[in-house]
Amino acid sequence: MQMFEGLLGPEERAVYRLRRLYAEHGYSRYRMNKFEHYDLYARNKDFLVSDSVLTFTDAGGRLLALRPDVTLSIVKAYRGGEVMRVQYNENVYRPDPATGEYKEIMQSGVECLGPIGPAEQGEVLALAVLSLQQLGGQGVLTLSHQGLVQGLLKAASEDGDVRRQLLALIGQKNLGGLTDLCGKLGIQAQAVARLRLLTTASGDPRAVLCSLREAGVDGAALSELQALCEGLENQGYDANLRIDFSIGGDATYYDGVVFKGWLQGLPGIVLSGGRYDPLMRRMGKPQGAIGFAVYLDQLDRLSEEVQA
Amino acid sequence: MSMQPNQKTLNIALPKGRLGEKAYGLFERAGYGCPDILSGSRKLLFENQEKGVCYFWVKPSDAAIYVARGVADLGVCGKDILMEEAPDVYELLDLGIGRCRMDVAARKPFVDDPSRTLRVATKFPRVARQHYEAAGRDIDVIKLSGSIELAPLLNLSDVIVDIVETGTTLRENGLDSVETLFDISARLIAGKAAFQFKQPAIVKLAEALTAATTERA
Repeated sequence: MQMFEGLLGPEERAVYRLRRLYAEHGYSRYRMNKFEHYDLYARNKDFLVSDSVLTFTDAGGRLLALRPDVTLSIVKAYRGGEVMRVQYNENVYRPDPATGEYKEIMQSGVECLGPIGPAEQGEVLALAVLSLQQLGGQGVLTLSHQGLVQGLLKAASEDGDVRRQLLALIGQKNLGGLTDLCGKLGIQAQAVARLRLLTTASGDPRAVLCSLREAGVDGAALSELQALCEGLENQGYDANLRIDFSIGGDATYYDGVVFKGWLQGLPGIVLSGGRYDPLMRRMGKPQGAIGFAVYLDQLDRLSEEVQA
Repeated sequence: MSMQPNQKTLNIALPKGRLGEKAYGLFERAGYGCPDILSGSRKLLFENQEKGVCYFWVKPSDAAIYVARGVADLGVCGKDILMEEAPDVYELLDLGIGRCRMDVAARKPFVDDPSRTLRVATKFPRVARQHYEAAGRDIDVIKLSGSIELAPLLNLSDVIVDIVETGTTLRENGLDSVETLFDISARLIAGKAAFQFKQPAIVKLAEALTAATTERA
């Protein structure tokens, strides 16, 4: 390996480093078919980053797709029983949001499915931090909790459409827009104050959690988020840890902790994951699951000295 | 001065023109001035190392691209462009300048005939589509780049979806506002990645701008 390192591009180097990291933590490689039945994506369209999927018909007349996502295939393959720890490295095919043209994106990641608890959650989050370290440069891992956000949204409105609008405004950190909409809908003052806090609270986990408690927010979701942050802190992984509720995912698929990773100098997200029990249930699996993907396509934009 | 935007300073994309100059006025009042910026030179990049800011002038419709792509940490961008392009950025603050609205306008008197596809001329096809889709109205979008008011006069379109400031241009061309889709003003936008790495500096600047904006109002 040592003798080849110099020959490898940043993307390839990252692939091998991540593969070693995940193997050291007991994640076995999962190799999948290049193609997947289109049905799988049609049924779970909202889980995908984009609606568009590259499709074609095979010799038997079945509609197949070039995989836009890996998680769905792994969930489909999970047969129940013990905790399944898998890692993958696959190309996915998605349209560029700006141009609509399809792009091949190299993606590595891990999934942990089955009867999982706090220990497995902590393990996957620690792996996310370590993954960012492997990519080089200064990384930041930002956490949110879908259960916490949805809980406060439900307290504010019973209307699913309204909650989606509010969530979008929190996602944009659009405090003015959020306040206007709450005023127009006549949402109760305490709920508004908490939603405003979700929009602005950001940064050091201790400070953010503290401000939430001061605002009278409590419950299982907040305690879980706190325990996860403390767990990472105890392992010495707290240096570049943040909480920010603007990163929340889709409630149809995520219900627990969600997280995104960034690298200094790159404009896009390089790591994305979370706890996706609702997706498991949608696909007829009663167990839990958590995982993340690392997007490797931006890595060649990092400057050379950072990668070394 | 280096031409490569700095890692430590806040890089800010300002829209060229009247709106950008007004916006810069707010930044200056907030304590983030850059003395030689209004010197009338053709330079596009201005840095004030002491204040930790670097401004550059960009085409107004491009400001959000600079921010979404991470070369600018912050930018000033009209709500019209944010609605049309839906860039992946944070919208931190309404700067309260460049106020106008997005309206549907038509020749008076206007009666919509729901038995026919409505022809809509606009610079904002996404905004127009979203509005009429929500209303369940079938439309034919005609994308134009300027002189939108001409379209209904030449029977190119039934209505227009366009920015209306005072309504003078509409009136002089025998057009009238039919409905307002949303109010427009300039917004302070921030890059999502930039926010993760430079949050304290960004929040401090946004707070100073809030104070400068309120003072003005």
